[in-house]
Amino acid sequence: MVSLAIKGVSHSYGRNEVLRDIDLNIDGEGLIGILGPNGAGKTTLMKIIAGLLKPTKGDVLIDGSSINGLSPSERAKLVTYVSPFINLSMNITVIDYLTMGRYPWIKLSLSKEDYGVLEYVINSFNLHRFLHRYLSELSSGELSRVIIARAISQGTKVVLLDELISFLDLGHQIRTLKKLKELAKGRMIMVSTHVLIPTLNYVDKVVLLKGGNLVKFGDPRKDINDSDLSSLYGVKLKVLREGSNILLDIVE
Amino acid sequence: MGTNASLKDFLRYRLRRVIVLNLLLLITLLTTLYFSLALGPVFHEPLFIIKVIEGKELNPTFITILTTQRIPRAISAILVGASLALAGLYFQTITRNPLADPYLIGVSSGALLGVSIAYRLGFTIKNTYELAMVAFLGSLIGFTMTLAISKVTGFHSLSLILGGLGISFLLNSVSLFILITSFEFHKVLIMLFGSLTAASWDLNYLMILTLLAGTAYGIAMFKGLNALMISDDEVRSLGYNPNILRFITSLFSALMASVTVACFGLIGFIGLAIPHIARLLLRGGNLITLIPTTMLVGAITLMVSDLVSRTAFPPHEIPLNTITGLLGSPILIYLLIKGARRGLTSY
Repeated sequence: MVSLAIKGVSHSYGRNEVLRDIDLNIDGEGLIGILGPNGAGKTTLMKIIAGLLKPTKGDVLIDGSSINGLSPSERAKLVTYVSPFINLSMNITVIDYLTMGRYPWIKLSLSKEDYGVLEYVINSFNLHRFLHRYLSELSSGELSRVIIARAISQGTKVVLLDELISFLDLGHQIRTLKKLKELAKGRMIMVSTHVLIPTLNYVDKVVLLKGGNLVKFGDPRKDINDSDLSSLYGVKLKVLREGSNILLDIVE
Repeated sequence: MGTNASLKDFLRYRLRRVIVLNLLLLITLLTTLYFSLALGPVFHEPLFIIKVIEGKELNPTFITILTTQRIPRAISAILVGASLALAGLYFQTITRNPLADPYLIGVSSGALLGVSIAYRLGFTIKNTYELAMVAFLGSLIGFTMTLAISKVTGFHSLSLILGGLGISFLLNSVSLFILITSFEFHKVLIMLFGSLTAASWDLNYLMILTLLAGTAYGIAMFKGLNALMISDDEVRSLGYNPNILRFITSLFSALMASVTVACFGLIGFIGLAIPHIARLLLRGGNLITLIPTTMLVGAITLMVSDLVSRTAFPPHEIPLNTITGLLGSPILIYLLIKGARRGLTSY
């Protein structure tokens, strides 16, 4: 069980306010989607939740303790943030990158648990063939899977994946979301993305952001309606529900 | 690789490979060291070790040359090679740029300027620690100037190198101006093109200190530094501070590089090429294995370069910079082409 409380978070880069007074309580495990148009504040919100960025105002509590009050090494054992914007020029191999996820836990050498976790993510994302390859030798889809695997290998209760499924093809988007839903048992995984239909179908809850404001938080199967999504992207959309499946119709 | 054992097997195989590679490099280093002691323009004793084993007396002139010149000089070569290669590796790590080299990013030139000013003010090579100090300050100024230009031009990998080259040319010209108005041409040449003629135990003690400090720092911080090669967010997510890490690392790297400049002048190429060669040999960029291999390859390369420099055209010495360039750049170009064909490198 995890409890995440975002309390009155605002953030500005200079004069540019990118998040405005976000209040959000997310309890329990599961897969959470963060949707919103470009510049909605998705990345900023995720970095604030991860403690990578200190909000101008407000605070983030994970299991009751402020993320900015923790020491960096304690924080690294509680929450993980990854994005696809990584450097590929230094000949880092996949296995070395995956092992970085264990750095907050490693004392001198890999423990039995470290091996267990690494083996688990390698199996989960089918990475056996890639272990000795350089990150620069992977296709963008393979690289996204490796980065997600690296995030899971950190073994934290809260995992934030920024924009990572956007670089996958439809098949991999669906397979990855399914896998993430499976992995989200016992932890909270948040994905920010522009990939709409697969995300709405697989996440447990969705956070809608626009222009730095929280538009809605809820279950996409019940709480999200036509006008929420239409106003989010500025095009007229209709949400079609068939059983538990969600489809979108472009009305315009 | 479905079971826990096979990941272990994979990692164990890789570790064994790293150990064998480093042992081979160590053997190469010792062989090079032997020839470096046995050969020279004044006195060739290629088989002196056999004489020692057979209990035959060595020529007293050879013994004097050995203890006062060749041994300290060979040790200097090892220390300079390892220091420059390690400094290059660290600068590449913190700039995430495989082209970074103290020689190309204003560090060595800044150090040279510091040393030139110190010489002009009357310091000599005997004032080792004072020279090292001003070289260090100069190298920090040079690197800061390069970073400033790189920042203005958008921090991409070529802007760092081009900015660094600009700063290097500028600082070298100023140094040359200062040196040439106060010294004979030969000494100026040594500073600009590098030579181990000044090798002595005093200089070696100083370099041992800075190299040990740099190595210990890299090993202690290898996790953060590995993460730094990925991204700043990666470093933060793992609980380290990228800016502090970059700052402290640049201090250690500048220290290692500037001390070599203070003692022996500008020696290029080592910091750029050796980490590349080490990465290709190891087939990986993990610092914990790169640090020892880079140091070994750097030491071997510099000792061979110095040997060639003093034995090719006796009694003249060829500037070290010429040899390091001649020996190293073809290796670098070959490895890069071979690597690129196999898709091993990321250019």
